[in-house]
Amino acid sequence: MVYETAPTVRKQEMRFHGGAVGPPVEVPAESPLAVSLREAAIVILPYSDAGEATGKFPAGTEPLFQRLRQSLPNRVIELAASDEDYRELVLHSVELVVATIWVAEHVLGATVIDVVANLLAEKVRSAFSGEKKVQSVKAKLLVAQNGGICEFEYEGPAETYRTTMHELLRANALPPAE
Amino acid sequence: MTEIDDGIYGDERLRTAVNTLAAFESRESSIDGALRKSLNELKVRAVSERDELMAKAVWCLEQIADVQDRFVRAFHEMKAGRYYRGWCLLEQAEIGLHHLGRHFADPTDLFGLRFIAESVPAMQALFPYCYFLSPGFIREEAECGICRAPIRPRSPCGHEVGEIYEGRMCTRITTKATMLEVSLVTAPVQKYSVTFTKGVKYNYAKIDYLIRALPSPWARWEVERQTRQKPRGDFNDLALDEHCPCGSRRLFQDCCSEEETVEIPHWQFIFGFNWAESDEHELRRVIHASEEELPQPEKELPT
Repeated sequence: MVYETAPTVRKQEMRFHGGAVGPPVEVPAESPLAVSLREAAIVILPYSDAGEATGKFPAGTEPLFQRLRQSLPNRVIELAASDEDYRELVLHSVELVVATIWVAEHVLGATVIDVVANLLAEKVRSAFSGEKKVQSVKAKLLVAQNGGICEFEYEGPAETYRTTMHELLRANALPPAE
Repeated sequence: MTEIDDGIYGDERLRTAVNTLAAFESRESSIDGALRKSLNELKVRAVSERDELMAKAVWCLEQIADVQDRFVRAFHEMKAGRYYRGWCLLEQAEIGLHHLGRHFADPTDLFGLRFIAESVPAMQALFPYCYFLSPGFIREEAECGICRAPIRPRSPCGHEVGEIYEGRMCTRITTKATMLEVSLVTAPVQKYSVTFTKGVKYNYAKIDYLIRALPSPWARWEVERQTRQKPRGDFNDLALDEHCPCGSRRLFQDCCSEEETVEIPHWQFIFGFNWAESDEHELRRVIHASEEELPQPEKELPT
């Protein structure tokens, strides 16, 4: 699918009652992964409600995980699956799907957007790619803020992901809760 | 100029290979084995000396040779009427260009890569293929294409997909997978899986027309898609339950059958000079071809 018009963006707020909001993922409470997820500043999430693909990650998630770890070496970056359980859904589609990413703080959203945008640029960049190679992207960012989760969804050309998502994130920065 | 450009254009050890690959327009067949062998020897030596830049420069030249070869072979396959084989080689040339373009941009267009990059999608657009099979699967296990280490997110081997190490491009090798589905799509990421239906022929008239007119794979050409108005009476022999000639994919009776004129697709081919014959790459109009002038098969798939 080639997008010739502006990308589609969607913002949805999910409110919870009080307390910090963790990543929306279920793992056994006593597992080492659960402990790590509780400390994580950023968590990459698998597909949810996607039939046989539920619990699997979009192809290319592993390099995204490495890049996020390199970009924020002092923060805990996690993947919501153990190495043994990590599986990727590989679809031979021209549409690039980026795994949903949860961030514990609004400020981390900007870093995630830059890392994703750089990876997308590398993926679509080629000196010999013509107009036909314009790739479309689906991506979702979940930002924990003020006891809720704000969900930013992007669907559109890879080239406009960075600017669109930064604008969306800036426009939705909430004042701190009293 | 990047570091890799300097390596390719400036290193004496690569001069013979560069000159051979730069003489692309005078070559009608594949790169000879001697050149590939000498490139491989240079790469083996560079790797043993831990000269990553030289090994990468050699990889780029090997890719250039592959892309040029695939493009030339695609042309000859199509000349021989083997259009699907030509299609697959065009796809391989496009994939090779995409991989190469991340590392080397051929800034002076010494190797004809920009010409190939423009020609391949233009040729693909003249093919009648419109539906493809596209697999979806779960990658259970994978290895790094360089060091063969199993992919474990928390214990990365350090090799990045698409980067060049020891003169080889890093890929992920799927070692265990579960097939989920095969979808019918119009825009696949790989274009090999064309659907063929028994008893139904594809109409290769447009690409056939082009290939017959081109004296060599390196001859310059363009195609402009236009439309022409034709009187309704020209289609009196067309049954109302057939596809409308306007190309809408609707039935004639539901589309233009009641109109006074029908706007039909029209392709105008423009042929130019060979690279060797013109410095200005100026195009001249030689032949105009209308859709209705092209030969039609007995039964065709909708395009």
